[in-house]
Amino acid sequence: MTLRNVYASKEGKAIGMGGLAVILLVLPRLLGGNDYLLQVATMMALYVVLASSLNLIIGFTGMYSLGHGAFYGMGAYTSAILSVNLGWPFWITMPLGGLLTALVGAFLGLATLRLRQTFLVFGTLAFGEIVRILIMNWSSLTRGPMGIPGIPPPKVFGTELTSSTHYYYLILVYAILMVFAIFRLYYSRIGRAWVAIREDEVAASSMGISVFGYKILAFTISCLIAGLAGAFYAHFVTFISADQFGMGESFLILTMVALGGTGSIAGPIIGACILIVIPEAFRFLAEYRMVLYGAMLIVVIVLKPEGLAGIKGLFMPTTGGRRRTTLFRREPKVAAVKAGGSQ
Amino acid sequence: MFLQQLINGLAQGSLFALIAISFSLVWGLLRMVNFAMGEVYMLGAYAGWLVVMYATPNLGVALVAGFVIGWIVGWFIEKVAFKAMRGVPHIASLVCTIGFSFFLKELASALFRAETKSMPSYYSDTAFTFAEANISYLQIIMVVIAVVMMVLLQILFYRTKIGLAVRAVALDYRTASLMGMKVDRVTSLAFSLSGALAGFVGVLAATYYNAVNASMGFVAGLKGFTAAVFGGITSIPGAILGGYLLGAIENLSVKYMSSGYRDLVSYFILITFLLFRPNGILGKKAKL
Amino acid sequence: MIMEIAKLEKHFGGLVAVQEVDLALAAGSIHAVIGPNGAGKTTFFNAITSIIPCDSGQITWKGERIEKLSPQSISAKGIARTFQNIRLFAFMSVLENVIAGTHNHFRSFVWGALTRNARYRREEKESREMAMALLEKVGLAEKHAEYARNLPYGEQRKLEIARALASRPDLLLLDEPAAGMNNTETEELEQFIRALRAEGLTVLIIEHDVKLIMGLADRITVLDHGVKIAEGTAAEIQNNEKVIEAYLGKRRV
Ligand SMILES: Nc1ncnc2c1ncn2[C@@H]1O[C@H](COP(=O)(O)OP(=O)(O)OP(=O)(O)O)[C@@H](O)[C@H]1O
Ligand SMILES: [Mg+2]
Repeated sequence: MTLRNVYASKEGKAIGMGGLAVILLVLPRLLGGNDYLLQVATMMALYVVLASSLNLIIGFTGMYSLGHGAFYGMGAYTSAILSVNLGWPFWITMPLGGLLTALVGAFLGLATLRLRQTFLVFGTLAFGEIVRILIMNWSSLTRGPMGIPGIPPPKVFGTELTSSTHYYYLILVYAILMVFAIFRLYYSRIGRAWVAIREDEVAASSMGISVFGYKILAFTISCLIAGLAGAFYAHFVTFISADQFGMGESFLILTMVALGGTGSIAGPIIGACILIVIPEAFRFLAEYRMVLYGAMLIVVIVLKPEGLAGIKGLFMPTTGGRRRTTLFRREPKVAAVKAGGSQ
Repeated sequence: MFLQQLINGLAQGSLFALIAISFSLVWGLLRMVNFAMGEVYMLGAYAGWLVVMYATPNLGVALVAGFVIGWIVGWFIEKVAFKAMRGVPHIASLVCTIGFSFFLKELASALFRAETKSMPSYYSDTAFTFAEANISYLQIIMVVIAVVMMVLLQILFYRTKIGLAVRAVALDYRTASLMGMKVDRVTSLAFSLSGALAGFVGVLAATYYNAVNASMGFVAGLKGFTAAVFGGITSIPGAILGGYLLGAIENLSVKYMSSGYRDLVSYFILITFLLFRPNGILGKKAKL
Repeated sequence: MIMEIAKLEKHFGGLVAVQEVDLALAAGSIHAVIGPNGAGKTTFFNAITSIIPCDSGQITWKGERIEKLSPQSISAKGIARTFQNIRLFAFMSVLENVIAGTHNHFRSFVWGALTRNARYRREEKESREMAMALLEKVGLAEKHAEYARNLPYGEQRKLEIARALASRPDLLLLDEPAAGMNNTETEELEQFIRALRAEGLTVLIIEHDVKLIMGLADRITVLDHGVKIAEGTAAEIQNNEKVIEAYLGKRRV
């Protein structure tokens, strides 16, 4: 039995997942109370969610967004402003942050529905910049370039979550729930509709799938999840400012998706973990760490356009009607003989 | 005041227009965008700065240096992001150039440190004053260069053999290659040329703003793309028109809103045109 | 008449691809559309299914006007189609392609997908069984787990038909289903289409294979340069001078 067969078998998968769960649970112990490493792990969980949510747009539905950092920031700012200015509790501001972001995402999806590929990339990029400029300059609301300090930590059963361990568990639970939700959506009627749209919009619409509706749904859910992530982030770091949610952030999230592999569940998770670990592992490279990011994206896209966890994804179901794959792929070597005609 | 803003806008518009031409060179040929165009521009600016600071204070040499660096980088990007990725959907190439954009920016900021370098002024004296508005020699030079570039490229495209090849490839990639045209060389040339142009403009911009830094490329690239879409990305006169209009609108809008919001205008124009008139003001009807 | 088309017209710039075409489809019949290359047959199908909106004309489906509807609404009304240049979901499995075709018959949405409640599970099971049954029918059941793009050409055509049938249509539009099939496959296809009619389906078919059409179609409409030049039974069409001229004239050019 090869290693791959072990992974593919039901038992193998159960053992793998179980093992992963145990490791995640006892991680604070394993790290022996090293706060810094625990915070890295927390950020990793947060970026796993962000990358997975962007994958919903890119990998599942075949659209593009370079504005994800802005959505992330919108959730963060909404939740932070509501809790700092109005004193509302985290458990109310967090969902509100998500909802507002989802609303804006739905609207952006609606507006950019007609844009394709390159133009969609630039449209969402411009949108992200608009959001950043607004945050920067709307000082009465956002305190502009000064940022928002002193964001209160969330309370659970009356006690404030203050230690890194608490945050780790909180965000871990959130991340697992979100990835699980994305997984279930992907392998459902909705996910099928998304992939059908990605593969061929015309065919999808003549199969009765509302291209319009499902594209907006993808944008909305993706932005909801990113907005929630922003809220968690804001209350985790307790200080936010506009420059944390600019183009660089959108780029980072996109890189995670492209590096890990678009269109699979495991891809963005792997991508996020790698790109969070690398800067930490390569601290000695100092400012060249960021150069490495860019170089990695280039190399991976050129050599393996489908990303690291491509078709033969580690945790991907490989039997039955469940095979899915990635977006960036080479055309088949031998193209099918196609009859002429314009349609 | 109005006139001064307008003049500044036109000068700045020349920069936008030249970057816009870089975009439309590649777009016209391959229907692709080199996302790293702004970073090529930034590298050109650094090249010019290095020349002026360490070699010779001659601005002409600096401009040539920007041109050469831009040519090399543009050529390299084409090799990696486009030639090596034949058969992969276009969008992957775009993502690859996004990678380049980030890579080059971070590389420059690691090499030259984050702080802004100051570039000495050239020809910044007032050439003449017109109804209280000052026009500097540099501003005149910039406008002249933009117009000359446009004319040169039009001649290159419509009067020479290379131009014929480029247009043939732009019209129909497959057929052109079947007919034995050296499609590869033509695309490589277009990329290098657009890079060179961007690098050249980078030096010009550095001189005009007296500043060079690693993040100058991002906004310039986005504005250049906006100008291209605004005027019509499929045509070079369109790109020029878009550049000047954008420069004028941006500078005049400062009167009506706080300067922090200045970039908003461009981005709104970009989104509006992408949505409602993707072929721009002048562009021919073309499929996206 | 299950569908009536009146004066349907579609221009591409100066080119008139479909010009004032009338057509009446009897319920439960097999109706063929033939014509030389570029006659406008595919465009005619695209206009019926709203993939390309028509410029003018009326389409009445079961007494209801449908020419302004979107493709997905037309699918929901019970009209399904295949494409001349196969448009499968290439990187979905064969089974999933067909399941995607059942989309409109199920209602579970985000909540159902997240909780996998009873209704969701019932619907998933049902759609899977429906799809498998269709794959049995076209003889692709064994290949249900393959990527659609890995099927040979003839099987891709069969899969497209299965996917179209998955929406349980009353009218099936087939755009050159036999193109690229060998003789035995074409014969199988003929039997298959007859069987569909026996089940009460109405079929509108574009085909260049004259033998297939003459044996199969109840009525034949001939298009040339976007204009309907003849309509009738196979025997009538074979002896129609205009038709002979259109085809022979074409050959001479
Ligand atoms: N989207 C389009 N844009 C412009 N012209 C088109 C378009 N689709 C079709 N045409 C033109 O309309 C005419 C009719 O084309 P159509 O594909 O309907 O012919 P057809 O009868 O299906 O031919 P074939 O037997 O080759 O499939 C052709 O001249 C074709 O070039
Ligand atoms: Mg046809």
